[in-house]
Amino acid sequence: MQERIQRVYIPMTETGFYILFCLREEMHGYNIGQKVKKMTGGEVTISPGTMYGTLSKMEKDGLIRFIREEEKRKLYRITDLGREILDIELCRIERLYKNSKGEYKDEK
Amino acid sequence: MKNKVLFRFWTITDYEKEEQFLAERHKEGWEIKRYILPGFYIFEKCTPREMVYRLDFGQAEKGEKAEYLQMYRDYGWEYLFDVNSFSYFRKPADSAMRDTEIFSDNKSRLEMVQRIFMKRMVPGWLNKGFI
Repeated sequence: MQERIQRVYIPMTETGFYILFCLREEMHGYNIGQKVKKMTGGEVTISPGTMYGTLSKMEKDGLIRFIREEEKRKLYRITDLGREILDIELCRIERLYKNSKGEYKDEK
Repeated sequence: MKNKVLFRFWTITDYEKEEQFLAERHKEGWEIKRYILPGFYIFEKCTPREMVYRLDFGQAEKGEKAEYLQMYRDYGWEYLFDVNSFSYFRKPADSAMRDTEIFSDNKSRLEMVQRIFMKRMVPGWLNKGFI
């Protein structure tokens, strides 16, 4: 994987993470925003300017792929590269979570 | 139909003041119809209302303006016009779709400032040989 992509996307912003996570299924921007709202009990909103910009950038970097258009709405899906990035990020978050629960013990 | 024209200059880094300016006029019962550079604002009499005005800068990808505007429409924003690479949007402050921001994180907010800077300031400096 290109080092640049890894450097830019890891660690991810919350917005970036949820967008990539949602795009394991084919979706368009507004859909993603609605789903993220539900998933987070309304706490995470992704506004249109942020959504449009993040999708454009992820498409250019090859993390997601444009599938088709439906009434001027672009539907995307994650690519293999995107999955690789998402997996790295999921491991990082899991480690963060485990450590936050105090699972790490110093070896004597 | 009653119209009025105001003249006002603003520098491109003052886009938040521009949003405020238009919202205040609307609250007084004047809605923006056209904005002609270098600073002519044509307003039309309307019912005073609390509106939120927002400006995005040069974000639509080439040949994708319709998709870009659809995204904003989905979120309940009304598109007004483009002037000087700025896209003007508004929605009622009490809209059912309550999000009144067009950027939801600092990263994308900062990227807009960078776009303004790259497009407007850098070429000027290059011309004058500052870099």
